Amino acid sequence: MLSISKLAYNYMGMVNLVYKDFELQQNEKMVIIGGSGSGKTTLLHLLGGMMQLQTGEIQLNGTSFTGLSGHQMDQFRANHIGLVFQKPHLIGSLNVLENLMISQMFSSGKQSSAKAKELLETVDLAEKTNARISELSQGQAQRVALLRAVINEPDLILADEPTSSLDDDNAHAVLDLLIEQADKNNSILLITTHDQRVKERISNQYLL
Amino acid sequence: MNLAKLSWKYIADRPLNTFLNVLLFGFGISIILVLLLLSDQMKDTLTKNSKGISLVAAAKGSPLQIILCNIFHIDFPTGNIALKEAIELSKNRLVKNAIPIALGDSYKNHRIVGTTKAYIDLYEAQLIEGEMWAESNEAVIGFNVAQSLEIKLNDGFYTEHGLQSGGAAHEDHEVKVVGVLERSGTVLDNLILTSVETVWEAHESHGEEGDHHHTEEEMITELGIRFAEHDLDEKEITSLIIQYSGPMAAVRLPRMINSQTNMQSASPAFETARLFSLIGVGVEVVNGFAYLIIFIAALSIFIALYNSLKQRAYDLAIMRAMGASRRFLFLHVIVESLIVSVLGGIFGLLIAHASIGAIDRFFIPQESQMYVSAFVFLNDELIVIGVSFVVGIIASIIPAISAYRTDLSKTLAKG
Repeated sequence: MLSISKLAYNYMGMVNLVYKDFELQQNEKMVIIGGSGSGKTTLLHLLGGMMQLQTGEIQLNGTSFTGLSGHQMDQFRANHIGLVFQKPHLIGSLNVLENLMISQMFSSGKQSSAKAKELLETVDLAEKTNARISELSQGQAQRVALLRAVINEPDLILADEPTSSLDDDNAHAVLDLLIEQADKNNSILLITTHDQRVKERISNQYLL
Repeated sequence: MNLAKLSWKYIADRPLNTFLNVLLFGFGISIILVLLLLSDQMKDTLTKNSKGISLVAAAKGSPLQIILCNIFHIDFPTGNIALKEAIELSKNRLVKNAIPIALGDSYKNHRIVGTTKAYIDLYEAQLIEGEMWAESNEAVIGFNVAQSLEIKLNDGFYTEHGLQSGGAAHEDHEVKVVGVLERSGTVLDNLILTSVETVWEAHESHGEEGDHHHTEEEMITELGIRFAEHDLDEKEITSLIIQYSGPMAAVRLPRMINSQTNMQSASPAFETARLFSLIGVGVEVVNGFAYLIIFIAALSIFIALYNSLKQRAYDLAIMRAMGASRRFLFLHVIVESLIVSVLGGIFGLLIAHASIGAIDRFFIPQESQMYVSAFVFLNDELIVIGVSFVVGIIASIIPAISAYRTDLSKTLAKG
């Protein structure tokens, strides 16, 4: 279960972002909708434990972010949260398989190239296993980035505008994959977006 | 996947730059090592050759020249000393042992040294073939002489006048090889050893013809040399190698020789130390140069890392998003630099030993007294690995700190 209560964030006294409380059970999905500057990304970063909390509280499956040190938060993120960004941002010095395995390395689970290969198989990228990142199309790269986020079977998947730079076919493929993986792992899925294609698929909406 | 492998992937991603840095670092290290190895092996050769020799008494002249000539057999003699005076000196109570040295002839660039068996014993050298000389015109040759001139036991040769090849041959005096010495790693390897009498005879024969018919009762033996008593005042040798009888001798004997005789004393320990202090300046300069190269290499590693980290800010942020700790990123950058510097260190170690091998093979002439080997390893070389580590860490500390400080949220928001 993911819950936020009385969450607010203040940028140097200038902008004050206040978030309505919400609560999501496992396997629930929600889109976060808001214009630019409305605090979508800030909310996502707070939920991902990538920014220090100022006021309010976030809890994921009984763990309160407030009580975690920086290092503990890193560990918690590695094991329980998967992040997807607008652009794939895969690591160019590593090949496709290694990009998946590096995510396993940071979590406390075992590294398994078999599991990484199996996931690649499900998105029809098996033949790209040892390919360089530069050889992938943008859609393929985004699918790999998505696999990277879910390979450790996270409780929470956070996706920041994952489809905005993709064409219709790829956008739908990525959405399918996100939903499919969230269902498979019983994860909570949160997507920030202003993309109509996403809103059509997920009815639960949180407006900023 | 692990930390080292991840760092390696980034290094492998810029092969030319890595190659340059490894090369640069390796060269700096190798210069320092070559100097270290050469001076160590040189010192080793010097001490081996002057072991057990307290003092050399020779004709008045430069003490350094006396040592170079009579111990290392490189320089020319300062002149001759009277046999009579040498005998008197050898009977001084401050002298424990005295060995005569008579130079003057050579054979194909190998010096012929007239001496006694005591000279061979000084270096604890053993014969591998044949036996010691017993009669005049018999010689024992060093290991390298046998190898390079391809002379065998019982071969005869004509000695040449002078210490370098090209002198007139003493054609009426054939010298027979009666023994070959084992390789001792000392000057003996390159020398032809014979009795003092043999050296004398080669010279007498073309000087005062026919004046060596002595009757048996006139013969005496002093310093291990057998000669006619009435020749005592005329005979000369090149030098006398002396072992002190005790610590008092070190204080009194050199002064006594210099002031009360026509001879000059020279201490091998003192002269080799002086020689090293002269060479030392040059070694220091080259060493300084090597440290400069290492500094430049460190700077180059630093710049490479710094530039690559600017492009990698997003990679680092992504790793943090995946749950990498700040400490991990810090170590990731340090390890990347360490791999380059340690590779450089190992590369330097290899070049250094290969260079020593090349120096031994191509630059040191056979007849010289230097012995160097590519396969001598010193404990000091371990320090090089340590230096590589330290340089690697210093070069990467600033980039590593900036990686440590990567602001996850800000970097990702920019993307």
